[in-house]
Amino acid sequence: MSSEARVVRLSNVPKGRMAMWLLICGEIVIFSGGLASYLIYRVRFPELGNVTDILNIWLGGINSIILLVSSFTAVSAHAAANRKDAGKMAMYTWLTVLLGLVFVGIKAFEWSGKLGHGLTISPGIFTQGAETVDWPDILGHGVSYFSYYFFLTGLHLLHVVVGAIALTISMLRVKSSGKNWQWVEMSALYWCFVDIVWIFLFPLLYIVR
Amino acid sequence: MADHGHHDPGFLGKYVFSNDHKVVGMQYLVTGLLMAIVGGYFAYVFRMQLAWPGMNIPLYGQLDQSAYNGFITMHGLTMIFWVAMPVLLAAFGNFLIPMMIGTDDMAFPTLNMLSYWVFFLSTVFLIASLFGVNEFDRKTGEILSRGPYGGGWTMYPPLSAQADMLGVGGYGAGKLIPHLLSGGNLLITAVALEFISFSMGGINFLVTTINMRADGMGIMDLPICIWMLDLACVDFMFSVGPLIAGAVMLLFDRTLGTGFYDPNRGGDPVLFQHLFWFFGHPEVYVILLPAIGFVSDITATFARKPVFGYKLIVYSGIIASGLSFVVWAHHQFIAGIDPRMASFFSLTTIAISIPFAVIVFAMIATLYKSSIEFTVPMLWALGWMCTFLVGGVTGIYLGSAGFDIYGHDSYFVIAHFHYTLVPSTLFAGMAAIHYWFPKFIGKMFNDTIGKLHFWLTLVFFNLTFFPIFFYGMAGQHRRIYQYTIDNHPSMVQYQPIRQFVTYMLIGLIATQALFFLNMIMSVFGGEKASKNPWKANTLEWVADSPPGHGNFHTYPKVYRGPYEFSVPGRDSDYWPQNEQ
Repeated sequence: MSSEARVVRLSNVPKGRMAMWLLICGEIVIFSGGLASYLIYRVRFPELGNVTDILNIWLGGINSIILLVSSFTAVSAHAAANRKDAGKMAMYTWLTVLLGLVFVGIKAFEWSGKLGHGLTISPGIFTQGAETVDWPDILGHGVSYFSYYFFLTGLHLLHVVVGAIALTISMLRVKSSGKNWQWVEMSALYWCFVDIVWIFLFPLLYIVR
Repeated sequence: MADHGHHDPGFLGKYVFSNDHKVVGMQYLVTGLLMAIVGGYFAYVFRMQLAWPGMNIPLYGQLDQSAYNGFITMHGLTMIFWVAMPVLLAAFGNFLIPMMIGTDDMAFPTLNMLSYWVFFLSTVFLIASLFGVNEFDRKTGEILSRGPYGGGWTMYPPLSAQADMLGVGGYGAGKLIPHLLSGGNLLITAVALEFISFSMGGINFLVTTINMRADGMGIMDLPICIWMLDLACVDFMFSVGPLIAGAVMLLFDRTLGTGFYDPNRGGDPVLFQHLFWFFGHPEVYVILLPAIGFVSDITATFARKPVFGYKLIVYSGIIASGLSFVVWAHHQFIAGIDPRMASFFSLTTIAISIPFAVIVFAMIATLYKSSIEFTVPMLWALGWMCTFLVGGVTGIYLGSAGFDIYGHDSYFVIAHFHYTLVPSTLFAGMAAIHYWFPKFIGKMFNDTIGKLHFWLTLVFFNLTFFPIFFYGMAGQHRRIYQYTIDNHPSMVQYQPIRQFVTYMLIGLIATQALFFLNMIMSVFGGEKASKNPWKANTLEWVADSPPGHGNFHTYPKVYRGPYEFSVPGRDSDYWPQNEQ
């Protein structure tokens, strides 16, 4: 019941960083939903076993390394932003976006190969005039493995593109205005999250038997 | 000075695309109330069909079976996602969070405005889905019938996952558009947009509360209302993800012909139930927790007594929010889940009633030996306690798997969740509207009409939903168009009760006209409200009624908790948080 003003320490996390962490937490739950569904599917059909052999583990592996390196460049951009070094910040951001584009390119190459062999997200789609398509026997259970493959990698690809756009916009705006340096940190944070999602997706989609 | 400099933003900037949290809150509130009329209309139409099957319903006409299914689906979705959530969480979260923590606006005002406009877009999609394509000719693409999606508000596959409209030739020219504009697809899009809107709002609410509290306001000085609104945001944001993924998968099943949920194509229909209820059950608490917050605050103010067990209520809320993530499968006891899992989920479900029981006991203890002022908001708050209790207690019945196997999908369930959700939305929502209306509009409600509205609603509400327990116990199955001697012989005898319930529902809906009348009369001709008409302690009562842009003239400083009523040795029986 004292009447003195009390000193209360508010959180010293800047509001932008806190919002980004909350966003990332929310996104983690989205990906968990997708991954859990996929894992349940794999457990239900143990006979699918070596279905992952159909994927090119090398392309997936190279993509993993590319994303890991891009996280390093993103963090370097953040470090440069902390030093308010606009030139270095821009360079590292461009490098990150470039690596992201290489990732998208390799992914597109992989997808086109699968689509070319009729391994699409579902039968009857992109195959004009046919109600059902004969699926390779290895899939056994209709469409689901490639449904999950395209769903999960597609969702991730969407995040890569959004992350690259966020990085580019914040870099350009910070560079031209010389203000709001924290934007670089936020988009780099998001980029690292996108990278970590791939670290989960890669073994589960490409390697697990 | 917290007053913002004056620059005229123009009509659009001030009332339509406004960043001001109060205007955004008002937009949510008005949209929610309008959607309540829509949702009530659905209920009226299908209740008429149940009471007098095949009749020519006034204001609608003959209701056929697929339209009946569409109306029950849309009633559920509209009431939960477009009434309860925008009114309780979004409208009052926007109004109250910045005002109660003593700041000038949300942490991200533009994001706040965006969240409303995404929500508005979702409302447009919802309404469009009422006129979605039901059937169309696969050869010519001609539309044969239109109507809302009728697979139930939970959208269970495999029914919802049918891609039968894909037809021969897949995406041939001219056949794409009618297929994509089916009621179900529009509905899923609407729900997805709503989730995006509330996630943006949730981030905003949490960051605002954590980072922008007034000087001297620790987290244990927050009004319970703010605690509960924030816990509701946490529950929402961290449970909705799997359903977002699940909804995209469902949309793929419907539009691309994947087989995530269709057993004929290797999918698993129960998977969707898990993804849905992992969100769907915390969603119940997203609606309930704000209601608890409003009622606690209002009870303390009109009992002129500190809230009994402030920390107890807060910790109970935290425990309940945590537990709410592990109770979801009690919706699926008869869906073929492992019986061992059923025991686990029975246990957690019954365990989660403990924190809520603690909260209600704490509210009753607040009332004990207090000098209660029976104002209109207090009546609504007390009404919430009495009616919610029935819903909570019947929840314990349904939580135990043994009873649920009998009660599942019966009208007992219907009566149970209407006794939880309607009190939370209608009673606690009305309590909040009547309590904070003087602050945000600057006018007092008419007391006589308000009391009449409350008592009539209380009577009609109980007469509408209580009889449903009886024919629910008798085993009447839900989502049935008509109970005849052929399909449900033992249910025909309950026709008089069904008619009685329909009469009472019409009474309940008609009574709400009093509220709209009262609101319009008060806005245009009501008595002007003073700064602190209820003599309450929290910070929003420090600002003008209505508060200007920027809320406070000077940022308030906080010296004590929010519930210091009737402090011994003090002349006035309340002690605002900002007074030394």
